Amino acid sequence: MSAEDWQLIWFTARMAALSTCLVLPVGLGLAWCLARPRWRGKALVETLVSLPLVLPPVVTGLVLLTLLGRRGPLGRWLHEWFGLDIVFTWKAVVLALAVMSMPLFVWAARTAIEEVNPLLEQLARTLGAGEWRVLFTITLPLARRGIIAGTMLAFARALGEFGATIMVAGNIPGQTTTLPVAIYSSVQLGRDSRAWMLAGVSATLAFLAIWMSARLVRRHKR
Amino acid sequence: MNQGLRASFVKRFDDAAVIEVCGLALGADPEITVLFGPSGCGKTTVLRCLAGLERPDKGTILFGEEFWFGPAGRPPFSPQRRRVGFVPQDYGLFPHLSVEQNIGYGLHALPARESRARVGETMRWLGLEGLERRRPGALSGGQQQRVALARALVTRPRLLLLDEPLSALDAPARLRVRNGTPPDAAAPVHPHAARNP
Amino acid sequence: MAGWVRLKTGLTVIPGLLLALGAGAGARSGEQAGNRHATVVVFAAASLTDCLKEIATGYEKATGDKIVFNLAASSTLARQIRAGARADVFFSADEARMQALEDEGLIAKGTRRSRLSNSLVIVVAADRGAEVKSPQDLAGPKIKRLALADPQAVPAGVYAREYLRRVKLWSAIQPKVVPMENVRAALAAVEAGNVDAGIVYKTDVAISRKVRIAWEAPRQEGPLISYPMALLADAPQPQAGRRFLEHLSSGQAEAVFRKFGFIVLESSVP
Repeated sequence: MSAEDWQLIWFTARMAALSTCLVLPVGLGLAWCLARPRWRGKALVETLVSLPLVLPPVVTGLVLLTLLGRRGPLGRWLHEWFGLDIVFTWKAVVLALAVMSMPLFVWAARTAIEEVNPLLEQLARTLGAGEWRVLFTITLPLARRGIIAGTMLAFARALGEFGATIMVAGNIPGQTTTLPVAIYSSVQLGRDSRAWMLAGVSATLAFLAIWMSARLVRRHKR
Repeated sequence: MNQGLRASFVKRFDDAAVIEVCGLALGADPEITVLFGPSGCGKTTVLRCLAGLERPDKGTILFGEEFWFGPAGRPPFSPQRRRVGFVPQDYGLFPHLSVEQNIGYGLHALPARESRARVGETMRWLGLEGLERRRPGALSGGQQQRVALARALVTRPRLLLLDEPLSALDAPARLRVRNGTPPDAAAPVHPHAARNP
Repeated sequence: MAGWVRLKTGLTVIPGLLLALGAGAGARSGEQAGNRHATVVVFAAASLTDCLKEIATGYEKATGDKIVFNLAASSTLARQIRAGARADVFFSADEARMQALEDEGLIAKGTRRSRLSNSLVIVVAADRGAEVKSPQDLAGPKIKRLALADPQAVPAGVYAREYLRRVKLWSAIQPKVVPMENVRAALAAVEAGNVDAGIVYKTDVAISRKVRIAWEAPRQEGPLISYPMALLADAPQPQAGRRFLEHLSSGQAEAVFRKFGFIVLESSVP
């Protein structure tokens, strides 16, 4: 493996880690809201959050590209007000990875939060804990196994994301090319042996992510 | 402190069951009230409504001058504001916290030294010394119940609600609880208690 | 409830089966027809999209044959052919992709012809100012991102890289390059405003109203652009394929190529 290949792997891992850092707070918020019973618009939010899981990834990529392109509603505002360009940069990679892995995290975290005995949260309230304190001292610690599993799942998904990424971030070697995109590109160029080698690396990374997830979850057995 | 509890409310359930409380009243001096009834008749629900964990459909719950619930239009008091101690039937101990942390949970606003002192005091009074670091999972039923009681008492609640409180205690412990109050003379506390046998 | 579910399943499964059977039958009838009303599969470079579609419409009306296109980067098409995709005609945007297939014996002998050429242009979005007046401007600070078809394999990108190398600008410009799947994707990126400029074929600009030409590479300065076409050795419809190839060399087709801005060379077999 060349230095370029190591760079590629390191870049992919970094992007996946960044995207997971983005997914955690947003996803936890969503998971907590969705774990509450019955509120206005809950079904809509539920559907929107699950969409990237079910839609073809390129469709999600297309939506992101349209929104964040320089002429798009969001992209234009970002460009004019902050001089920020998202499309075809590493920021687009992080965003694409985050959007695609969010549903998995929210699903795992929500299930875990729903399984927390509501009586414990209620007791905490009678003991004077405000909602934030209940969240951080009772709900989240008791849901941590599911949250950890969800985090590792999101990370593994981000490592392997392709369709949306290539649409909105393109395939710029050294700048936005991730491992899956490089595999596709190698196949396109007829470089089969490189494609297989990278595929092996990709599979190893995915295996490590899932294995670590299982270990972390086991260690947190209550 | 002229405080007393007055409550009249109705709570309906989806399966057409209805609980109606008419004129439940506790006086201002410390007293113990016991709710009797066959299982399933709604005693737990009444306690939960008083604690603010459930909301009646209509009615009023008045504690002193505080409208904990109702009349219509007034926002109900949150459980945090009511300063009620609640010990549920299955104790509700926080499984991920130690005994010490469980009991001291409600004292987060106090400086560490004072909260540790109060926790220690309450643990001694209920015969829980030595169990500070244990997890609830490693306690017997009676110990768990005492920890739950300690946790509710240590915050000096104005109203103590106990759901089937003495079922797991042995006779000497039961006697101690019935006759005693938390040993602090500095701030006289008047725990009112509605109790289910 | 169970009855309703069974009905719904039936309603979706049966049409699905019918569609699958119908599609299969349709394909088979195309092959069985032999000399009459065949379906010709043409793999062609993305830059040929519009002119080939027009040529095909006329051809279909005249002969009754059906032309089916697979339009993509020539490198992608070559890859697919190598992997066993069934096609009759390959129309590439450069000689190198065609040569690679010929070296592997995938081209029917004697059918290769190169008659078309094109020119390279630098394009910018139509509503942008005149920041680019020459290739040197691409190396300047105003241009942060330049869209090219992937210079590693797609002909349009390979030509662009070759051109930039010849004018000694490649090393300055390379860090700004955003490689795209094919030349039309590069064009789209310029249209959408996601890049500052792009290098595409002159013929691509004709179909777009959202970009304008900022600079045209003079033919002497640029690499020789050549579009070879050939019949594939494993063509499922060799006779119909040959007929269509002949038609592509006819005066009628040439007129259409010229209309779209392609340059028609004298016939040459490399």
